[in-house]
Amino acid sequence: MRARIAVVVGLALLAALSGCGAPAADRPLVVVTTNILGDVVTQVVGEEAEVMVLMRPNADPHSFEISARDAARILDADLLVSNGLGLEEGLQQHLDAATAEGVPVLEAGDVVEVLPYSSGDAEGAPDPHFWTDPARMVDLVEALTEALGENVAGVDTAAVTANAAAYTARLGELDARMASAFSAIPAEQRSLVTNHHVFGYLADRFGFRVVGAVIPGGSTLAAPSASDLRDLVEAIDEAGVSTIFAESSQPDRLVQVLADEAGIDVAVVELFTESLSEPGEGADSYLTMMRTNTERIATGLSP
Amino acid sequence: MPPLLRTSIAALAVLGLAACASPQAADAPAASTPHGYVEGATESTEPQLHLATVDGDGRLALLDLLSESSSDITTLADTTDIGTDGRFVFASSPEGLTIVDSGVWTVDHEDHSHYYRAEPAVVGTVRGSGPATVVGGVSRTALWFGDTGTGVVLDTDALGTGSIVELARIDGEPHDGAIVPVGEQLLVTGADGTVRVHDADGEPLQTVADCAGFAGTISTRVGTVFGCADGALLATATDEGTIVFETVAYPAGVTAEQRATAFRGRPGRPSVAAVAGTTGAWLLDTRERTWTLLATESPLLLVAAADDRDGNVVALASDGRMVVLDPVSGATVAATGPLLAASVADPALLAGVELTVDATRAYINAPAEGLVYEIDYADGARVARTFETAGSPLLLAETGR
Repeated sequence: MRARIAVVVGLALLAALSGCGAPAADRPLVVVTTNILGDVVTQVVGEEAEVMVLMRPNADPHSFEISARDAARILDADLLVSNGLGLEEGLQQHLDAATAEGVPVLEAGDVVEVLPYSSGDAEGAPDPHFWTDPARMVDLVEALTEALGENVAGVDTAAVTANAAAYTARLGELDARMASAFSAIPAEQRSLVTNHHVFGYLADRFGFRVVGAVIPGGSTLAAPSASDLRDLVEAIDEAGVSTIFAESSQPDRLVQVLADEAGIDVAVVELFTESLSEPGEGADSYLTMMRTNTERIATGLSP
Repeated sequence: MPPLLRTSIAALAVLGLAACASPQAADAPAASTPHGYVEGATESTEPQLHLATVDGDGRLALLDLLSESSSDITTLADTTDIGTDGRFVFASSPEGLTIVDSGVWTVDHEDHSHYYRAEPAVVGTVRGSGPATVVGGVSRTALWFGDTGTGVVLDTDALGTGSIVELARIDGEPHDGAIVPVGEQLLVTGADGTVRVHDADGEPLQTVADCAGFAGTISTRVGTVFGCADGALLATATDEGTIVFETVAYPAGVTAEQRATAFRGRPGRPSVAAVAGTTGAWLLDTRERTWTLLATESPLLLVAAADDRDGNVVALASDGRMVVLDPVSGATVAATGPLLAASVADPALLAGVELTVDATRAYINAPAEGLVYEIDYADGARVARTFETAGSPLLLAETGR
């Protein structure tokens, strides 16, 4: 009797010391790989399960790391939601281990219509960045609702269905808002001159053209010549746009060099691509990220 | 199997320490280390290009090509040569090979790349006799000490965390050779004029190809090239990881002294270049499996294929000029003045001159002139920048690309 009490006390002490937010043992566990999917899944699951998101804000979905403890918890999940299509390269062995362990897996790549990359070295290969099209996210929400009902015992399916309906409505609003914002851009200027590689789905859905461009880097911008800018200038001229959407470590310097060396006056604007941000940074949820990007594209390309 | 074993032990250790999934715990080394990840590294939007130079005192300095700041990393006396896999600098000395992490590197995901920056660090020294040929792979880095016939296979991920972990040793007949890691396998040159596939533990497998007179190896987007007497031996891996060998034979009438013995190119591109004796340059397109002889008026000393939009080939001519060649005709598209006239006149200094190309620039050290030149090869061989290093730059390597 005494021994048993000691053990219980010991366990309680351990929990207190380690300071873990003790996961509600009575709630099922849904593990999600990327933080974009993590937000969407959280909206749909609501209070019905614990949602554990493996990728932190401002991380890289291709190479983010998880702790051994997180890796172990994946095996206890009632449902694992992943993006698939090769996005979570660094996690593959954990995902394989979960599948081998019999953890039910919902892979977004299996439930949305997949597009191939339209250019670049990976041309023709499946493009994993489906989330830039909100209509495809609706497809994922539908599949998720079904998967929760089928695989996660103990969730109130009515509540989940209601959450999904509410979130789907918000996705619909987002979709309408994007369509409306982009409709102000003349068709001939719906070109994204960019070194981001994730906007194929958005382009396909809303009638944009993605013009891939090499953005000159710091070692080039130090002592640039017209030839360094040739690809980019040709892309800008061809697209006839006044804003390019590029990730650059020195956007101001790039703007100045383009003006000095090529006589081109463009704005350089960065978009959110593969990760949610910290709160308040413009992409703290999927909906915020999409609205921020929409606003930046519409402002940049509208006459 | 040893890597798996180590991984599980590491996982257990972390599990024991990290009792709680706090953010700190989640950032700790995980059960596996995907390529490109290092704790404490930050991701950047562009390649964090650096030049490593070694001067006469053995001082190894890193020059940041973005900020133009320079820092001394360590002093390696008696360094005879340096090389790089794009991240680690491998410095040969009579006592062995010292490995320095330049702290900057690129991870190629084919549809895009990721660029990282961390603190530079001296990783350590592998004892060995004489110069080592080093070939870095995603998961393994292989050293070959030709004087003694000793091969050492290291864990690349471990190098990134500052430790030298030997995964295998291969003993062979002494010869000028190389070991090339490809996936889980190793391609090993033999003194008998072959290249043989070995398994992850270094044990020889059945697959073997002829490569008499081996000289020079390089990896391209397509596969691994070995320079052989009759042409290039090209090793490619199938989706299942099976190694397939094929020979890209030289055109008829190529003399022994015209053969390619050292290849230079840009990571992730299919074409590479080599000096063709005193007749000009070879351009080897590993995708098309073709050799093109680019005949030049001046003999060339070093040649690198930029394989950019115009297919520029960059070279050091024997008169000390930097020249840019047309990839089809070999015609000189552009040339500098004799920037390296004094360096090419001194055979001892010339031995340490290295030419490297990235997406927009070429770099070459001029030890006699005490300078490193940055050449804009796509813009009339313009000298974009000139860098003065603290001591004379006897040896050069470019990292971060």
